[in-house]
Amino acid sequence: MRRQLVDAGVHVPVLTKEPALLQGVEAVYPPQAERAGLEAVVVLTVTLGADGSVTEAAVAQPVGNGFDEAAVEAMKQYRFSPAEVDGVPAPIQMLYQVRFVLAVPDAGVTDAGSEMAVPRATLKGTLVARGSRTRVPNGTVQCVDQPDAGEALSDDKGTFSLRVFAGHCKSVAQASGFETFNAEETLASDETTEVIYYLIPKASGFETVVRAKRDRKEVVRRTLERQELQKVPGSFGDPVRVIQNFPGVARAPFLLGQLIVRGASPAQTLTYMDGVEIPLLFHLGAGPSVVNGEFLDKVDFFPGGFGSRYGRAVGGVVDVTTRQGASDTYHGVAKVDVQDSSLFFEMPITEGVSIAAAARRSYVDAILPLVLPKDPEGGTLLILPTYWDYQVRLDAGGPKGKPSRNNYSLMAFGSDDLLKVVATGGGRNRDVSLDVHTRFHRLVGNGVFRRGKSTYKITPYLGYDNATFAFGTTQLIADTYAVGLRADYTYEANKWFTLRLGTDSRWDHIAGKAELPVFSGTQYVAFPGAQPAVEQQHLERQLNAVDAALYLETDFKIGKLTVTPGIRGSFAHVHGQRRWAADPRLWAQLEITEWTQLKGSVGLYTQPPAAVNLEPAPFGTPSLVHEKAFQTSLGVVQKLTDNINVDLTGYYNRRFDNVVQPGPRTVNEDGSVTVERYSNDGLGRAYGLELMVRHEVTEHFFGWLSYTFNRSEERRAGTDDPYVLTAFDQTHILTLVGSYRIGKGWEVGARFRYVTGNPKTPLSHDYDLYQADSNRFSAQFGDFRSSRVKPFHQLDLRVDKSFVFKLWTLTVFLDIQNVYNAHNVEASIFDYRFRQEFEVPGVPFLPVLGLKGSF
Amino acid sequence: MQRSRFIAWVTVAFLTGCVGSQDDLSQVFDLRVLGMALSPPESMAPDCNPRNPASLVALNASITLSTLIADPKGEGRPLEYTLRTCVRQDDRICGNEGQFIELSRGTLDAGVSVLPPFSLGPLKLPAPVSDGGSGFLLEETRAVSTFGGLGGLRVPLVLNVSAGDERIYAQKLMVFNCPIVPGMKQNENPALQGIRLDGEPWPENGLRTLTGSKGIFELDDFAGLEEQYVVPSFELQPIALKEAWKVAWHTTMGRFGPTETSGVDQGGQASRHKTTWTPGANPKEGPVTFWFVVRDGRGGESWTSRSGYYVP
Repeated sequence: MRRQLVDAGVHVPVLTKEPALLQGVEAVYPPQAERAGLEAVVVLTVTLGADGSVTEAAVAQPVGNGFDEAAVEAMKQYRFSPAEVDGVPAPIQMLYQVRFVLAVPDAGVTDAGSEMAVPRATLKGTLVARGSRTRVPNGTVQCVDQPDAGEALSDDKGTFSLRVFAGHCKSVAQASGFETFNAEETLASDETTEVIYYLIPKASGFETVVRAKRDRKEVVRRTLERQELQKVPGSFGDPVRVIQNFPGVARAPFLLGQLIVRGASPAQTLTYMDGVEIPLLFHLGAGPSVVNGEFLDKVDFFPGGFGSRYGRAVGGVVDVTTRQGASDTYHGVAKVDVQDSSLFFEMPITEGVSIAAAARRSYVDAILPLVLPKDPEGGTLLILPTYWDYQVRLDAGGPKGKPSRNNYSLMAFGSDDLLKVVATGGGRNRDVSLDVHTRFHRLVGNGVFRRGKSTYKITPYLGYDNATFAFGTTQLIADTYAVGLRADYTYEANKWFTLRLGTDSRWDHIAGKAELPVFSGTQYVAFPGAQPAVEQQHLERQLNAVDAALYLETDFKIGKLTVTPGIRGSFAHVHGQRRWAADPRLWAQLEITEWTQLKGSVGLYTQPPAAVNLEPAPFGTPSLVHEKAFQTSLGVVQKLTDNINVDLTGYYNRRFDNVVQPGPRTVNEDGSVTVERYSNDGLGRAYGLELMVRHEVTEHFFGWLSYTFNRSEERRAGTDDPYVLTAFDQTHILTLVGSYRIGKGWEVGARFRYVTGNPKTPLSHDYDLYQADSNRFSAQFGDFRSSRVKPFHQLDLRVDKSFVFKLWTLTVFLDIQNVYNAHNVEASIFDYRFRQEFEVPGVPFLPVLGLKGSF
Repeated sequence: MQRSRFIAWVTVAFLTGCVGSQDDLSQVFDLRVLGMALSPPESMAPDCNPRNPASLVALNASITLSTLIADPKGEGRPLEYTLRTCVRQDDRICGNEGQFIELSRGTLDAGVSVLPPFSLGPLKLPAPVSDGGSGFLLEETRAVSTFGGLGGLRVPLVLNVSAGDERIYAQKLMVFNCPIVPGMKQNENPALQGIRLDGEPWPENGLRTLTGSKGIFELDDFAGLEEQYVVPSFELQPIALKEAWKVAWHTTMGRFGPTETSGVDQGGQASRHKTTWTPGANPKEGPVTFWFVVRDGRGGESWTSRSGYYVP
């Protein structure tokens, strides 16, 4: 089970020990089928009690001819060792195969009574998943032509040992989630024959399924599992981009990775990795996410109404959860596409200790010079976008399948983005040198301790961020050193009361240096026209920022109603200034039936101003306070089938004290002017309806329909201006995603999107408006954002073909953006006199080919 | 997220490289106002005491507006014009009822024109613009100024030129200043020195024949003429600046690339005053006029022109 043991502090039950077969009972072969020479495999959905007994067995895939009834009857007599969830025995549900194979009489074994006289042999071996080298535990091996010889069960390492009669053996190996493996062996008398059986995996959905219910407190919490993470068309195999296909998220222009959630600005949605905030999610804003997709266990997305454990955000939250390394043997994945290559490796070090590591490096910087036009006059043009990232994780605790009360992990990860542009000499009128560099590193420890009804989780971390911007002689460098601690405690007193409390605190030391020209407009009154030559000014700042939060939540379960009140209090100390915030929140969930739930939430959310924005005027505004949002939502979740559920949620968010520019300008009595950069005058409101119809990952299919009806508006306080649409208000956002596993290694997927066009301000030209001082024209516009660009629609396709070899698997994938080359519009530009409007086209037909090898 | 905005900007800039109009600032094929120069470009009072008689003289000084207007297809038609002044810079046409004063009207010809001189100091609006205001143009301009007049009172002058169905409102700012910090002095209009085409000097009255697919235009060095000047910071501290003249290049045939050349950008990176003229697709033999307009970045402006003959 490659799963995190906890989910970002909010406790999620995890299967820590798989059930092992203790006693199997041979099913009675249906006489009619036997006479007809029929064989079959019956797949059963088996429910195990906490003691390992079979409490229910139902046919998942009927085959008829009496096999189904016989399999169910036999299964009811099976006994397993208890499965454990979070280290304690618990009931689970799983899929199990019962195979009916006609025995072939063996000439050498004619009489059971002569068994003692027949020489014996030993068949030893290992069950290995074909294509990945994963060891297969709990698989059965038997010689079906020796029905009296019994069967062997593979252990955690996939090894088995079967004592049979010497001679011919028609061996059959079976394991849940794998195709039945058949082999013919000739076993020498009194000798041991060693074999390796490479079992062909079925689709990932066809495996033991943990049905333990998650503790879902939030009204909307969308979780992406690994299967979905990498196969969504149009996402280039990038797990985090898949979030952009969920309800509540506006479509970002081009291929940008911005998350515009329920009308909030991208900066108001925070991203966490294993509960620790990271400054950016995508390389170079539009590239892949900063964490290798193979490292991800799951991605949780909260479009709003998230728990008190999360804070410092008035929009949504994304929490990326990484996974621990494999505990059976070593594995790896190598991926190559047009822009970068990545490697992932995982292995056990010793019993209970595993390591996983990944690295990625782009090579766009090596390809671009080959395609950029050469300057005939001998100038130099360099455009060098480069990025790399790494992740290393060390885990200690219970080995696979064995319970452990405590788990520890240490993870280091980081990212580095560089965009360098140099254009010099030749026929150029101006030499240009631009250097934008962003990097971050995190070292995160994690300890989970379980004692009876209590679970403690402690996550200390260190961080280093660096941002450098250099344009000619202008240079800005900002280094941020962070120390943080998250500590969470959960006490599950009984079935009706659970307590969660914790702290989320960090201290940042920010050291900034800048070589800047004196800013016109910021430090003196600008005149329209040419930029004067100015002397550089040297600025240096050192500042410490503390942001400490405590939170408390309790679950009260009264019958079918669960009520969760919570509060998060925070204290910030920046630039010698103190800011307090208290965010009360309340969730309620009513289980009307086992298949229908009602959920609602109401709460206050605050986001502190960035420390650098509290700089004295003219670079900041010292009086800035927290941005705030009052979020409400009400939803219903209806399970239609085992695999299909519908989630309908309405929301209304009111945002206030939003930070906006420009700030107030005050003319003082002595004639000087105080120009503050920001103010808290931003107001916003967003309301809408989100629908998600989701088909879970099954053997052949996963997919969803996502529809959002949204309205997001903003205005500035202290003015008579009415509310206007936000820049990314999109009334209708429809996304259809589906991926189908055809078989023989083929998988095809499609994504279709239809989105209302973004608001724009219509152009209205009656005459030219010329400003002689700046030699520029002004535009005449209609009402602000009173029209829209045309609707966006696009179909993306993805085809994967896997070639499974004994020890590794090669996957070739083709991801095609905009299959029918829709002429979408991303923005409008104008001619220099603002007489005509021109459309900036979106992404055209864009195929991307990639290779992925895993072992 | 600043970085994301930057990346978005780069993306849009990259993608818009192949989108949009082929028309640009350098191509003159219809009615255009190419330049407006004031003499003087700035009025600097001897001190900041408005009751000082010498300051009043500066405020009431006579001002002359010269215009450079191109109308290549007009065949010499007369151009109707009005010149107005008002108090708000964002009133691009000086059209707010009761908040403008008409300075002159009449007709003028394409080319260089000098409009009747005027004085702004004594002018009074039909009605006060600000609460309790006097109605005097300069006082009302100060009253509505975001910065209380810091950086100079910038009085908009709007020239409305029309012919046929073409109409242009061109705004020019007249700056009234006083030495609020030491070192401030009155601005002077910039003046270009010599023009060179393909490395050869091109005197003002010399007719040149242009051939081939391009011509390299350069300016004689004028770095020594760019004035050093002082402006007050928002905290009333002196900030020393130096003009970095920006030159706009215009032509009646083909285009210039770049259309403007200037001294420094925000990164302090210098630009050469060098540009390339191309005659365009399928050029025909004929006369071509070039205008070169220089701006000093604080209201000063002048121009020069050259006439040539193109032979493909």
